[in-house]
Amino acid sequence: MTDAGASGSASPFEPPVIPLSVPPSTPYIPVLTNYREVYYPDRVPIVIDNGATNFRAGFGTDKDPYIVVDNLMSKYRDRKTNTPVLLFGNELVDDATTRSNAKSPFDGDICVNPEGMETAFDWTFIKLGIDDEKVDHTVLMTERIASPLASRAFISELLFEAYDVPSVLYGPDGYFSMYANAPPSSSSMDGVVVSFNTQSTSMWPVLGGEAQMNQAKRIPFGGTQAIDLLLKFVQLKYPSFPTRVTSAQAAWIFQTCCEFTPGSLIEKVRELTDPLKLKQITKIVQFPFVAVAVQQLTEEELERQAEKRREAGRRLQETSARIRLEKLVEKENNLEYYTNLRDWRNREKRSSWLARLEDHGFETEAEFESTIRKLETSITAARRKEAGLEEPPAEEAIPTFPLLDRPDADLTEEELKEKRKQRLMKAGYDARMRARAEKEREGERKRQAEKEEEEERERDLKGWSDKLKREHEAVMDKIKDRKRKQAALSDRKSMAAQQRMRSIANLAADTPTGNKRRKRNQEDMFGADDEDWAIYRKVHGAEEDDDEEEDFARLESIENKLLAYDPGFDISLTFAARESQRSALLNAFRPIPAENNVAASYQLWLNTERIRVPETWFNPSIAGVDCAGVGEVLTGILRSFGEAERDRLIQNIHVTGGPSQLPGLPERLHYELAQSLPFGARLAIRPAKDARLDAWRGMAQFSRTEGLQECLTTREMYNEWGAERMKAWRGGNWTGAVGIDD
Amino acid sequence: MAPKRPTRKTQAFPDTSEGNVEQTEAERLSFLHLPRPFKNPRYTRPQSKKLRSTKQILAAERERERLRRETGTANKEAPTYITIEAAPSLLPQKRYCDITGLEAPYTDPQSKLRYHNKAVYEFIKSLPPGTSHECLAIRGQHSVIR
Repeated sequence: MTDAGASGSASPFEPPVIPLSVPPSTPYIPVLTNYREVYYPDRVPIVIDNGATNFRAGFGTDKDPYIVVDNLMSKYRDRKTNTPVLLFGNELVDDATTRSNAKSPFDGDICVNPEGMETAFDWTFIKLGIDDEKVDHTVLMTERIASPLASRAFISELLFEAYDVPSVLYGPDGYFSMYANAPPSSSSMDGVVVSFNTQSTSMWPVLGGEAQMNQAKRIPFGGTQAIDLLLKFVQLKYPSFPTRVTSAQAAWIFQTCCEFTPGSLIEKVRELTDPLKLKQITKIVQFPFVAVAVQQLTEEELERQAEKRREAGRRLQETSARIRLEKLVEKENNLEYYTNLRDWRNREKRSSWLARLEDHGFETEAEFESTIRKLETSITAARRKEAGLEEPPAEEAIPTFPLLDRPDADLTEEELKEKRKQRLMKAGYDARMRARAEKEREGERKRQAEKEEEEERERDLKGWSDKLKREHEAVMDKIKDRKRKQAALSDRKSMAAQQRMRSIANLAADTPTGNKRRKRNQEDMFGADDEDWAIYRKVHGAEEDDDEEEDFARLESIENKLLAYDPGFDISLTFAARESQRSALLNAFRPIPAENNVAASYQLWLNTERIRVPETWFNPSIAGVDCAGVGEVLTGILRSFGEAERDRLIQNIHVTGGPSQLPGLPERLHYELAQSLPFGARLAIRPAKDARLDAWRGMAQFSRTEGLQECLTTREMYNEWGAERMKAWRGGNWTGAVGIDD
Repeated sequence: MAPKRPTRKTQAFPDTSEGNVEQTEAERLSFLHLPRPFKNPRYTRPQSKKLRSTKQILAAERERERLRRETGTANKEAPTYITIEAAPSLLPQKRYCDITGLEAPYTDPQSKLRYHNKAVYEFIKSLPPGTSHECLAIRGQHSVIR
């Protein structure tokens, strides 16, 4: 990333950018061909880790499971060809029909779907190449801790009735994971299993290889919930993200970016109040995007475009000039015609002259004269403009009102009318003159003030700018205050809103109360004081609307002055800039990408989310789960044992399951547990070597031991006890175990 | 009116003989037709109405738990799926900002959102309506209107 380096010089630290890369699903698994030679003769046990996310199966003598796939099935009838389709695991093709029909044997934490399990078994036994007429192998299977009996019942029924297996063994995956990680002398296996599952997190102690199921605890929060939580956080942080973030992508982000806080979260978070620290823990996930190619115009093309624009402008000017000229010619023609017409005045009788005028649409001679005058002035103006001269301000000739000075008695009827008219005209003229004089005085005052201000500025720049800044502050305060008032009015319970309601009620009441002055004299004197009318502004709510505009204008003029003359005042100090400024902390939390930066708009900045999501295991209330966290539950389990047993347990806190692979978990567990243990306790957190496969491996390992036979639930037992029951064994569940849970 | 297209004939009788119709990826991978020699041909999955949903399974567990307690014959220590659920926390709960995830000393009385500082408060004020409700829903503190 070359430009990342370039921008690095501007700010001291840029978080790492991680391109999103959700891995493709596992390739197609072929059918095993060596079943008869390798696995059939010894009837090697089949080992199945039936997890809510992943389904792993294989023969017990193998090192790794032959099958590791998603625990999903899809069954539907193809619309086009009308053929039924049944798919399982990684063979679910990525099309809409398949995905919409995808079903898991699990609902949440519990295995509930017999059809899903049957599909899984069918598919597994086909892939393992079993061609005998029954599955003549012992089956070892994981089940949920304290599994509901109904789940076990249908699985047992399937295995014994449909596949005719000789015997089964059920056990929780966490126990086998611990078994895989235990030293070879596993009979004395001690410790606490902490199993991070898809939909829940379970913990139970193991003493001397015996699972202490009476102390088992489950937290209804698992990997799926964490991923959902992360997705929700992301959606709220980026409400208008250009692409939809799928849950598969969220799962990838969870696995790549999240981590447990090694110590207390609240302390960590207090550190992160520093925007720089927040930036340091940020990871940026870059989603794929298609860059919009910006057309780069060459110099030549730009020149051509500009030329085109100029040409168009020229043409427009020419057209308007032509139109102007045409109008001028028309006016000149008119003038000539009217001038010729005027010649008739002296040539004929007055009455016929007036008739002639009327023929041309003029009622009086005066009207005719004024038309000619108007024409003349407009022609001179147009000629001047044509010649490129500025139009001189039309100097209004001082009109005379000769009739006004003569007494009415001397005047004829007609003249009296004329006099009234002249009087009106004089009044109008005088008013115009007064207004003009006032304007000139105003302009003079303004110039004077400006000059004074300039002098003041030159004399004492600092004093001047301080004064202006004070004023700036005051206006800003006023605007803010108004905004606050308006916000308060929208809140029904605020002081301002209540005051307003009281005013309305008071106005509507028959006997207004409240104002002392009005109480004194019974007569309604509303309006006697001009202040009374202010009540309507108050009731209206949005008071001083026009004042607001005025304030903004004032603000702008102050800011312009300051920007022009005060070197200490820059654009960042203006009101608009201050309003749009975001706090540095919010900027570090989620910066707003530049408009034209496409790559940045496809980026997710993850910082507090990275630690906040895994924290939920230790503080489920973050996700609204009303339950104690892993640390508190484990502490409770340890507390129920005596000192000697507890010391044995704490030396092997075994953590397993997908989410346990996130960094920081051992440290965090140590921090949580050490608080309640005596100083110097030999606490050891032991993560599984391979949190994904260790449960299966432990089970395979167990299937190879001598002790397996005595733990199995056989066909005879199934027939006698029914589908729900199983034989009790040291690592297994107590629910439905014969001898413990009768 | 647009002329009718005589394409119905070919769609009404899809050619299902092999080779002619192109198989989709899903059909190619489908294992429905594969032989299952290991399976008991007489076995049919019971179609019982009972025990289909999680709710029913958990109800059955609860019933079993109740019976066991009443008869008092069974080992009291044996846990069930319901009894192993961890109890609510007894520790004081820390408050985190609903927007930034930082420490939240304040709560907005209007939206009930917890927030870190003045800047976040201003951000909350600028949120479009409904968003604050979604933030609360994460914590399960929203009110559901039915």
